Amino acid sequence: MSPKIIMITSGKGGVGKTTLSSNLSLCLSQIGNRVLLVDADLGLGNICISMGIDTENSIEDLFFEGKTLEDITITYSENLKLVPGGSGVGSLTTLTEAEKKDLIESFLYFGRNEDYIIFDTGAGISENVLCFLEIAQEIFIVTTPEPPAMADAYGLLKVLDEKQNLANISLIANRCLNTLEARGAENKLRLAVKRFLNRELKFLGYVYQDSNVLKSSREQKLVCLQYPKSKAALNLMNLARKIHGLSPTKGSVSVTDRFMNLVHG
Amino acid sequence: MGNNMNIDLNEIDDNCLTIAVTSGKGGVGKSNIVTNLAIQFGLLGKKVMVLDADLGMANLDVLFGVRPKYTLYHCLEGRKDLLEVITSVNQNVKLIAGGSGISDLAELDEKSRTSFLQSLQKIRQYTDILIIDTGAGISSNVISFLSYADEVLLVSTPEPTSMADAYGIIKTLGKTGKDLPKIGILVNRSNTPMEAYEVSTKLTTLAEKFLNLKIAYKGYILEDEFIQKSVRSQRPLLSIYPESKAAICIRKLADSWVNVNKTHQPKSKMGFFQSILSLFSRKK
Repeated sequence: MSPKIIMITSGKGGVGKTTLSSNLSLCLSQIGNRVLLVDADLGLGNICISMGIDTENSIEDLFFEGKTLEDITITYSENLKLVPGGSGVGSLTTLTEAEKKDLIESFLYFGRNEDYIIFDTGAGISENVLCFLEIAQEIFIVTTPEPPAMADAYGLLKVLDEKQNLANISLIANRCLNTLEARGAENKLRLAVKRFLNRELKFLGYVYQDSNVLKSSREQKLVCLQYPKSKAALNLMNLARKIHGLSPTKGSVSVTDRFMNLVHG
Repeated sequence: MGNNMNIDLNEIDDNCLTIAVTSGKGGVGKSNIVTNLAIQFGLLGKKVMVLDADLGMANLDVLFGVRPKYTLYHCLEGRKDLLEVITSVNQNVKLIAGGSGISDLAELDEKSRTSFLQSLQKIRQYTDILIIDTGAGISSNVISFLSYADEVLLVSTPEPTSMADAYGIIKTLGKTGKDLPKIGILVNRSNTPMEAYEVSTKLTTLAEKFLNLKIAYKGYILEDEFIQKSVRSQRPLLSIYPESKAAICIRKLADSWVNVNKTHQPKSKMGFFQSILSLFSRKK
């Protein structure tokens, strides 16, 4: 079976894209999938730092050191492999179309035996982000409920709508103070997309604001490993289960949330 | 609400200090710092122009709480002159808003490029401080704006990922090898002044040791829940919570900047034209 290809991106930077990609990859691997996580932020990738992996390997080795993907890939656990990005490599942000195409082809070939290939791209709408669009089966756009992040999420949706249809795009609301705020963010974007782009926007789910995320980030550990019982970690596991077509784990959905789900469907 | 304004072209006095604010990693508070720094410079009597250069994903208008009628997009598209896309925030602070949701900004023809140059030059002539908010990352757009500025304010938080990306910026900028701007580090969301100092020392030591670059420490902004509140209410922190911890830090930063730069000599205009010309002429 060929792998499912997921791209995780955002309009604004710093909304938690890398936190989501790395933790969702971990959770997907924990429920029995083989996962290849690709740090596709070619210029300033930092998944390795956020996961506390000390490596000299970088994606630029493919271009300047003559190494292969096999050489630079890091085995994080039995089911989770990771391709590091570049850091401060300006030349990688100006790859030619042909080079990008080759690079993407090689990712796909390298990950052909996995269950999931997850691309964590940079923020915004640069060419380097857009070139992953064509191959992604599912695109997750991360936003927070803050106005600037919502404005950029909408900006990104607008651009994506011009490039292809929005059918395989879902929204993830990160750092929500409560269910109400998450639903508010979802509804605002859904209405804007409906009204101005005349499309339906899918909503994958939300992750609560949780100080354990910042704490684990400063400790360079994944929150789902370090604080698996924290609110955010439970949300993340449920998102991973939803991606894989499973129902949420028992007891992880609060009474309010179940009520809100009943009301809003 | 902001109004597009006309500028008297007879005033000519280019002593404009250009500060580019950048961060490497997104979401570390760059645009908030730009917004509030601009407000404070304005309160100190400086004529401030803010250029939202996060091409395609700009949102300073949201943070200032203004609704620009026209943006940089209209200008780069050739439909408006740069002078026509200026939005007034208050008496001293003006904004050139960026466009949002645009992916084709790189494809400019020669004509609109030249007129962008001329117009920016005109704007500099009666601006005391031009603040450029670059996007995150190290795209050629970002690097060009950085090399064009007199000073680069590099924002980092104490998080390891943010520090790594800030170092990535220094590394990339160092590689351009040109007449480099002064680079200063501002540590945002710091729990204590000591923590900020340690973050800055790590970065300056690395830059000195591996890149042979001198980086200055510009100061810190303390972690403050009022910033989140101000963002959600779409009013600058300095306007609604002027006595909050973070607001005090920003005032201190702006005040010392204005005092140090009383005798500012801008970089030569040659460099300015070259860097702006290279800005939009890159092939995809």
